[in-house]
Amino acid sequence: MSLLLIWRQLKRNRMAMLGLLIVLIFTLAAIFAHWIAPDDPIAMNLRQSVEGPSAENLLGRDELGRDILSRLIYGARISLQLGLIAVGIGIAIGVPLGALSGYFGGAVDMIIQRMIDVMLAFPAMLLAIVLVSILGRSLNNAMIAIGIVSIPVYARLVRASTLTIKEMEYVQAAKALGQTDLGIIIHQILPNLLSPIIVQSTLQVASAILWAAGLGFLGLGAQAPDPEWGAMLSSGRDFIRHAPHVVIFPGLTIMATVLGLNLLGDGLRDALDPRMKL
Amino acid sequence: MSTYITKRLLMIIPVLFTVVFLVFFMVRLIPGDTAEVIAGEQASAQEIENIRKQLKLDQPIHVQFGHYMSGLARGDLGRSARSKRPVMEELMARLPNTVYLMLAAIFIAVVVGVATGTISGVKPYSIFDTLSMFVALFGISMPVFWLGLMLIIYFSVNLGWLPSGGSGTWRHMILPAVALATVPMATISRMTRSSVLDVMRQDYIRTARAKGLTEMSVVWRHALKNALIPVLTVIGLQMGTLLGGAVLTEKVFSWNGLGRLMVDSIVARDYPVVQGAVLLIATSFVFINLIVDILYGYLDSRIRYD
Repeated sequence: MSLLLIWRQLKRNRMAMLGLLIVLIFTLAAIFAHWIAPDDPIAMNLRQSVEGPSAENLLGRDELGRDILSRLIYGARISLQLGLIAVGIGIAIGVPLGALSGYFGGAVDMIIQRMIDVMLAFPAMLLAIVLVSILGRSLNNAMIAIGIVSIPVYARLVRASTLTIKEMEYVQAAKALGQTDLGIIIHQILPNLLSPIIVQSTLQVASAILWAAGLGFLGLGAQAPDPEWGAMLSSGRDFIRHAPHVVIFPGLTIMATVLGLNLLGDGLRDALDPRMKL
Repeated sequence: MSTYITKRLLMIIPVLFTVVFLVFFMVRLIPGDTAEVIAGEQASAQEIENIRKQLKLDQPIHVQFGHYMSGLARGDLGRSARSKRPVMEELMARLPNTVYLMLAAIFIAVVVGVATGTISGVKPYSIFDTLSMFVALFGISMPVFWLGLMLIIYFSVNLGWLPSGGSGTWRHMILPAVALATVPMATISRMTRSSVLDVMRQDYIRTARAKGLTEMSVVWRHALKNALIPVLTVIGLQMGTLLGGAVLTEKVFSWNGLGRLMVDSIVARDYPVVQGAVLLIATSFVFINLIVDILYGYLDSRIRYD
């Protein structure tokens, strides 16, 4: 389906457009953080610790007197980057695994599916925690862990679609024309999987951002002084009695981003194929 | 049915074995010298050597594995590096708290989710429907630990109705259970709505109405029974979310459960406890999924297992 057609479909869906708008705002904030942020995100100012919102600091200051709005803007950079790269890792490993599994079947399928079964024997968040505890606590390792956790989603999705597509006549035709197996997977099968992968990835980035915030909150992801949203909630926790703004705004930001991605993902699904159910 | 259960039981053996195997390697995969890492930065050479001996890290890997497996068979998971108590004892002391929390959360999620979903499904596009779908959308986009913090701000700090953390009485349980229930509640509500909507269009509902049954009894006796099968699938799928969410919820509310023990042990590098907790949670998850699968078979006789 052409891009123009998808756009026309998407434009009619008001909720999806709202989602797109939210995602665009956060993307722009992430890219231009340096110019938009009113203050340095890690510059401390202890005399103004946990100051409430004011005209000068719209969202107030955190426990170390840092400007919360600036930290949230720079945090968008961390969270979006992490979400995109983690999902990229999931796609880079999960898609080939799923395609091989579905295309060749037999022993290849058996081995790959049992590997996936083992990964699914862990609840996603727990698997991410286990991986981080092995790799060490850091933002990069959280990203790798979340990437690995995303693999089964893509492997299962691509396998199921490959099973259907490989029986299509044009695949048989390509085979008859002497195209190699690898050529068929790359040129005939994968292009047809683009839409479901895009839809899934939009929703998957949302999950990745939630998981990363969770790891950050547990102290297993981003480390101080990184302005990561989950870590901000964790360090602001002790101040909720007297300065609730320290935890209210980072949480609202996470929710807005995730909501935007979910709305956009649902809209894309309807636009690309109304019958498609993930 | 019994052949299916047997088959399904046999199928989890390789999965469980791999989980056990992975957990064994987990500690050995930590970059650097494991004994040094566990001992901490201020440890003397002698202390490091003791840990190496105690964990049998100085032996060949197959001997280590044999030792680990024989310990496992006896229910011996080693000792905590922090408290020096047996890991099994530590885990069993925390397990009931996590189970209570999860049961309370599932109860809230199912009752509220099915109720709101059914009302929405019977009267689609009503104000109630729009409102509850809106709430559900926010519910699945919210980090569970943040919702927990917001509940604390409102109900503990502002209103002073409920304790902000700790475990013990049922009053301690309300806020964490509600926080943990939110995501599954939202998903169950959405699923129930679409399932009820679907069932209400079926011929047998028209027949039931034509018989002159009240709308109440049409919904209760004819629609819900059939609508709940896909809902059960969703409840099963939510178990993973719930276990992961429990780790975060326990941290927020200082709830004395397994998840918090695991995270605290990771930060303190108390690897024997981490290993034990991961093993216990993953094994429980495999069995929960098994039970859910078997339940489907009883509820929906159309499902055939061959």
